[in-house]
Amino acid sequence: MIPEDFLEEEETHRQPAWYLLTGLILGLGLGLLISLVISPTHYRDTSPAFLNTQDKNAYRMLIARSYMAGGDLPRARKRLALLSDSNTLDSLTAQAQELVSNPQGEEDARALAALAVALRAPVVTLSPTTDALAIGTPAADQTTTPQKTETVTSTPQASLTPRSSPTVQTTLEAPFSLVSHEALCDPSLPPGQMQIEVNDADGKPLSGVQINVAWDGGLDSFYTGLKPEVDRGYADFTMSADVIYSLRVSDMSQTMNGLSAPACPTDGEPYLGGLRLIFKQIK
Amino acid sequence: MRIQRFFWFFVILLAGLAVGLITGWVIIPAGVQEASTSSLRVDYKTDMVLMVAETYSSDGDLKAAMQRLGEIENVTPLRQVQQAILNAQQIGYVRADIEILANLFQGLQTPTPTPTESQP
Repeated sequence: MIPEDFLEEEETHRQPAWYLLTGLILGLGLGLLISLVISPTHYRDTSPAFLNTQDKNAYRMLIARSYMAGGDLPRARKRLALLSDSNTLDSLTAQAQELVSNPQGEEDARALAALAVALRAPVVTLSPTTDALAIGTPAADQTTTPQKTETVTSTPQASLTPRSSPTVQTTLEAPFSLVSHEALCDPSLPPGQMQIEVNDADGKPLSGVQINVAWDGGLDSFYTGLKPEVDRGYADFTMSADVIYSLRVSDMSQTMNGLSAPACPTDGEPYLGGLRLIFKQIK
Repeated sequence: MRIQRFFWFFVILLAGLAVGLITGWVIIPAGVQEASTSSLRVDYKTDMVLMVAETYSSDGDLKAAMQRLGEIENVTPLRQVQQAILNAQQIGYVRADIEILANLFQGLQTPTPTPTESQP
């Protein structure tokens, strides 16, 4: 006969400690059940950086609308910083691109794109004595007395809404030059399509650049990057036959005149071709 | 021997419970961004209301302003703006901003004309 204690001891040595693993799994499961299902975390007094995607979009939209209303770029910049986006310009452009497919969201898309354009422009801070040299619309509230400004952070302390500083801020955008201009005679393309590509000085595509097209009795304004599936610096416009167009990339570039859709020769009747214009930012 | 097993079983169970609670309450919420605008700190909410008021002061679209306020928090717009004005004063907003908020407050107080059925 073998004593029972001896058997139990032998068994313990041979078998792994499954009861410990069982206890760990049970405890972990119970802990996760309590913390995620029964009593999950309730967000309180959070910062905009912790908002869900939908509410972040709503917040960004409010910033863009507010910017369109008041034109206060420093304030919009500070407000956008609160969202802690990895790339603010990309976030604005992506949201504008989502909205542009919806006819009701066109105005909102323009507001977002306009803010993206304004943010891209380098900010040159001039001293108040050089007011006479200021170009463009200065930031709002220039006449206000110096006030307490404080960047809103996620630290739990009272913070003031970001205000523009009383210094004059001027945005100067580097102009773009035309590097390629070719007629497109491809029957697979929509007739009269003007394709525009805008790149920076290093040749990288630039989204959110405003393109202005004017013709006799009409004017249109649109932005690059609203068709990212083609290219981030791409935009297009449909020309009509026998209409002469003028085009300008951003406000600082020279206007190109005399653009028109070419008539492409075929064996039969000629068809309306397109144009491809490539612009590069001047350093 | 069995008592010793039970002891260590409960010790490890409690350790697992603690790890589970910390994971669910601390680690996961810190990485996940699931908060809504209603959970924002009061100064951020006030700034959002100010943004709505700034847009309203430009376009005068009261209906759109009310809709935007509704997206921030499930409170009546009038009360929301009233609270924002109080917060703005407390935080130390400049007068111009408080006036913008007050402008929206006045707009909300103005009774909106409701279309009446035309009489034959």
